[in-house]
Amino acid sequence: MPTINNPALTPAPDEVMVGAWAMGALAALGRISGTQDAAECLARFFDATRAMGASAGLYSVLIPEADGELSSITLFACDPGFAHGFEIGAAVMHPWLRYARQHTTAITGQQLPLQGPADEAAVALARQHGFGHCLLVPIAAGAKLGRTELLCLGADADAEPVFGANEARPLRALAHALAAELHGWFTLKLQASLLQEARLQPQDIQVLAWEWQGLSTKEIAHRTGMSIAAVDSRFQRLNFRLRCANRRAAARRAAEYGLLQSVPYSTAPAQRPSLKSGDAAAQGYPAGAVSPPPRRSASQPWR
Amino acid sequence: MHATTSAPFLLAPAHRPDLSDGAQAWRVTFARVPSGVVAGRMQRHGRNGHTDRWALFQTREQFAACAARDPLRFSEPLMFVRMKKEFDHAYDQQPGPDPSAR
Repeated sequence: MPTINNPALTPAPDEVMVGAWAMGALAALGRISGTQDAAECLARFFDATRAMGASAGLYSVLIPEADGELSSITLFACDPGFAHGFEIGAAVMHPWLRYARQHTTAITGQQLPLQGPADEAAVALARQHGFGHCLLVPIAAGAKLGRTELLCLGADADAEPVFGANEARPLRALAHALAAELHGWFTLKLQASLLQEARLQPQDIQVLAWEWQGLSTKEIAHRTGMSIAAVDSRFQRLNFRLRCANRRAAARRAAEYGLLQSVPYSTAPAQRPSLKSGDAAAQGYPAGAVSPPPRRSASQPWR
Repeated sequence: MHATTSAPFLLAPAHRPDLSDGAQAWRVTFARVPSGVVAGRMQRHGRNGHTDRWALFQTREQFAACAARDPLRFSEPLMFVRMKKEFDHAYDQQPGPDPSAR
């Protein structure tokens, strides 16, 4: 049997064997969500990759920042030497990542469009590091967002059958599950990292969400009970904390890091924050957030 | 602008070996896991941009092969020597409890 070592890929798969293999792989990828940091996550990702029968794995997250900058986080569950040659950047980008930024459907390496010698060299390098055959699973963070994530599973060049074969359907399904696990892990950690970095409060997230939804200063002032000057002042502080030049960029950064996911999109007429406690979710606050107290209260959080 | 860390969740706890240049333009950290040593390198660029790469080294030989190709060998020779020592230190440690057991 080839490098993709799982019973689902045999010409006449034994259902019991396939079931046992799938359960083992699912158990391995299910351990990812409980990890605390990137090191543990990578170790579990590595285990899951091998449990699925692949010889190499890579997960990359690209986050657009203000001023055309790009942040990236990549886990290399493969020959670590590949990390040196894996190009990520606004100007130079590996063809896998370029595909992931423009598409949402999974493809095999053979289907990947290459745009010249640089792409061919990048693919050739990947082939030397366990990605002779590969399956690319891009993940889009959401509508209007530029954050891109990509899972790539690899197998040695002499592996047969490969990821595009009919027999590999269970493996492709597991790859999507693995990508979803990693996406969920990164979303939670990115949210936490920006909350910590910028010291954001639930009320900050709400005004950023309104800005992201396109509400004007006047509308935000009406919803919060703040003056227009106070809203402007609050955004200035948020711009500083989020290290962005303007409020639109600040809102975009919060959205790209997943902070506005739990704030539902709303164009409903303006409503003042509820006076009741426990209404945080109803107002679109993230779980665990505290509802703002009444206008002009001594503990007014909007002030 | 105030100094902050990018993606602090990716940085290892303080007890783990940790190297950085004075300007915090890049940072390297090592963590022992059951299957080897995970090395993370965080490089900052621009106002918010950062490039974080995490790789698992299962053997000392894998790390030596990567280190031989690392541009830091020439640009930051002293840090490069420390980095190799820190890797060896991490590799010699007993791996922590398996997170899957939690």
